[in-house]
Amino acid sequence: MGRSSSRAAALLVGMIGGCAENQVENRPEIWTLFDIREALTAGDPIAVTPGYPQGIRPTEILTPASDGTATLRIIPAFSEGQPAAYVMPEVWSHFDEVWVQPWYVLITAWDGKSPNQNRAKTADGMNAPPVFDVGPRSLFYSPLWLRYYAVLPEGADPAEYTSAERIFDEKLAIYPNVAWTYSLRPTDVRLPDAPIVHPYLQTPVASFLTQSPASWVDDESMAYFDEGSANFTFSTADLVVDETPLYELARRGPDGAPLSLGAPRVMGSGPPFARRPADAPNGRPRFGAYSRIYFAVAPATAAAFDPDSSPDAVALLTAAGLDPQAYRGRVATNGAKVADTDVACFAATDFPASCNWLDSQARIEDSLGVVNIIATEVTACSPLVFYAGKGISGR
Amino acid sequence: MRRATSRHPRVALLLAAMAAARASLSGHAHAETTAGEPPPPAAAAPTPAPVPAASPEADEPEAEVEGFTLPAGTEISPPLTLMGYVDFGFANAGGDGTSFPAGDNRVPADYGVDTFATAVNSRGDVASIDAMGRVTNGFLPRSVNIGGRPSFLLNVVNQDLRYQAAHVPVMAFVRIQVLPRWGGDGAGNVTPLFVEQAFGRVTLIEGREFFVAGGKFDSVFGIEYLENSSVFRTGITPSLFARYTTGTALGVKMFFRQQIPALWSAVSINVAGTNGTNFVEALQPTDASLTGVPVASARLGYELNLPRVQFKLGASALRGPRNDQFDREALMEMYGFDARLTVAGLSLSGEYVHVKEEEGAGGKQTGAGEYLIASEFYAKGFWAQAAYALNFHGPLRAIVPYGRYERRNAWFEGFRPITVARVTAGLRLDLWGALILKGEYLFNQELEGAPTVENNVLTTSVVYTW
Repeated sequence: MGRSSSRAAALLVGMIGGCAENQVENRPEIWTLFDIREALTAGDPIAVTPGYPQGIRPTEILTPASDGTATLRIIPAFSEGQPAAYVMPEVWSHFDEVWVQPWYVLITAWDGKSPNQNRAKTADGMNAPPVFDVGPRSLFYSPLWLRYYAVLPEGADPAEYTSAERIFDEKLAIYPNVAWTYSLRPTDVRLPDAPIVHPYLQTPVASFLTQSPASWVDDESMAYFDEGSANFTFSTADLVVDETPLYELARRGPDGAPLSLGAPRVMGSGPPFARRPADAPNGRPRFGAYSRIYFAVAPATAAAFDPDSSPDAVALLTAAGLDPQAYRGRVATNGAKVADTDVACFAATDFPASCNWLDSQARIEDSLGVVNIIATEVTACSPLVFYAGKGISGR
Repeated sequence: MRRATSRHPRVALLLAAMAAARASLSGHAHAETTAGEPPPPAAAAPTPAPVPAASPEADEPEAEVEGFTLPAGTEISPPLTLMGYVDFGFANAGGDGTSFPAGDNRVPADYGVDTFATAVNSRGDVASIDAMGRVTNGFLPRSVNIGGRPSFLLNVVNQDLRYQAAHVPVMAFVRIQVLPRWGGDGAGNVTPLFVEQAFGRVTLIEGREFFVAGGKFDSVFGIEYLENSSVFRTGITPSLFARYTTGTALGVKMFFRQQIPALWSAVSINVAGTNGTNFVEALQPTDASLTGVPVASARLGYELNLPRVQFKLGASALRGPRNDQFDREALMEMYGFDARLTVAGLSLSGEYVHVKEEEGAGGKQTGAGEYLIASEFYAKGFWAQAAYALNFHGPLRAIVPYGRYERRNAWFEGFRPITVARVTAGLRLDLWGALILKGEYLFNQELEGAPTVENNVLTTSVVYTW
């Protein structure tokens, strides 16, 4: 073999090896609250991937407490041009899709109009814990559930129903209900003390965000968070959950790769560039509980608004009857002055109208274009708890 | 004969050669066993019909093909031999032909049940794997797609080709299987063709049981691979562990056996280095190494060959990267033990198998396609089989009632472990040495972790050989 052909062979081997390495790097992973709790202690970022090299800091998801426990953090965001907020109890990497899993609520009789009317009760009069069968140690675990009601036989002790196997062994009648987001949690991961508020606006988030001490997975008791119903959609054919884009605003770094601005993310309302109107009847978004992080690469003039460093702008907002905190972290493409010809919109007298805001999916896509919207390998359970500038009402 | 074989190997070889020659001249399908792949099972001892020579001399070479070597220059048959069989059957599985409980929408559908339970033929194909649209993750057998509907089946059309070079210790063997199938709703007819085996084998030392083979060949793990062929399998369906131990593999292997005449015994070692494991092809690709690192497997065997009693023990092990993904650090390990006892027409056999697979990377590649996750997986359990051969003269050569009990415990990481059991009861008739009739019933039981479903199977098989 000649020298050049040897080099070619070596190159080919290297390329093949590279392909194999890529395939190995593409290992699907999931971080549940159990894993994030561990990462919080270790201080390591999670979901570090080639396309999302900074990963996610556990402190973005959980707040460590002095007693060694941790609380779920409300993460500020924008959606449809308004302040929003979400929680992020699970994160995936290298998952092309995730699925809804079945979650069984035990009842004593079926009432189609009021399914919860006949919740089975334990001996102490409490609702019997729900049952499910794909736990957080599986890569197929999903906090996105399709809720079913399982009708117990007359006189049955609900305490005996601690696995889905039992439900199917006894061929209990089951009735599908609605999609629901529940996140299993360690007992030392809890919600913040009430009232739970938007971190900037300090107004309450959704009342449906609650915690329960017990559910059953394969005979094992586990605590969980209730993060609301009907806040995602899925295919009834294959149970694959529909993704919503979650835009992370960034600038190009020296090497051309996106560098996050660290600003609140922007929750989309439909597939990228689908121009789908937000489906949010009565202010309850039917999207967002499952999202994929996209870099939205803004120009060098883009900047996030900081009320603390723009007193004149704050005064304008206050004079207009707007809460300056509703603009905190909001990114404008013309927020910074880089060249002499640039106009820093935060300093303009007609602020906030002077700014080209990137605070909705439509504005991001219109302003940045498809070449600047870059999908990452990272997806998240990200149910909205605050939408259109207020806490989401109802369940 | 055992004694003679041990003490006078040359005489034994001659007798074996005569038996093989008779088989070859009669065009009997079992001439293939003298070619080396695959050897028949211990249970073949009480099933005389497929055995070309009724004399006990014929038993040993049949029972362990590596057990004899033709002296150089011995001409026993034409160099090129064609053999084969057709396996035609009728099967009816309970329920919808799967083990998926109705109404269960858990994903993936194939992780909480035993999808291999409703086997209908000797390849382990099941009545159905229809998950009703639910996502599965590649832990699925091949299917004949009959669901819960009784149906005739052409289980396999098998053609073997053997070439034994004259005057040189080289043999080549090819086994092709054609599987006419209905592809399922909307898929039309499909007829896949499998190259089950294709290898060359060299006898390294004349007169010794010392062979090296390269190509695609039978497993060296355990003993159930000996029954891969419909002809040699005592019953119809494979055990619940066949999925791990009976797949053919591509690579090289070596066999050596040393007779110990003074003890009426022999010890043997079978070693292979292959692309993948001995999982069946539905669970992993066999024709390429996905990690670049071979999988090592071996079996150590001991056999006691008394005049009226034959007893065999074996221990097998396998280790290497799992070949259904790309990470060479994702290892799998298997070990197992097997035993066989043959006495007075009664054949007892059994095997314990332990499987451990680490989590893989880069998606899961199987013989059926790509899936999302190569999950960490464990399985363990055993099977035990009893068969009794009633031998006759005339067209009906033998009646063999048989039964098997097996129990399997397995789990994917994060999923509830499942324990299933199966009782198989059947009857086999051998006619004219060229026709085998079998019928059996599979009582599948979900003992723990998996919901009880209606998935028992009645299946029959008629095997024509040439």
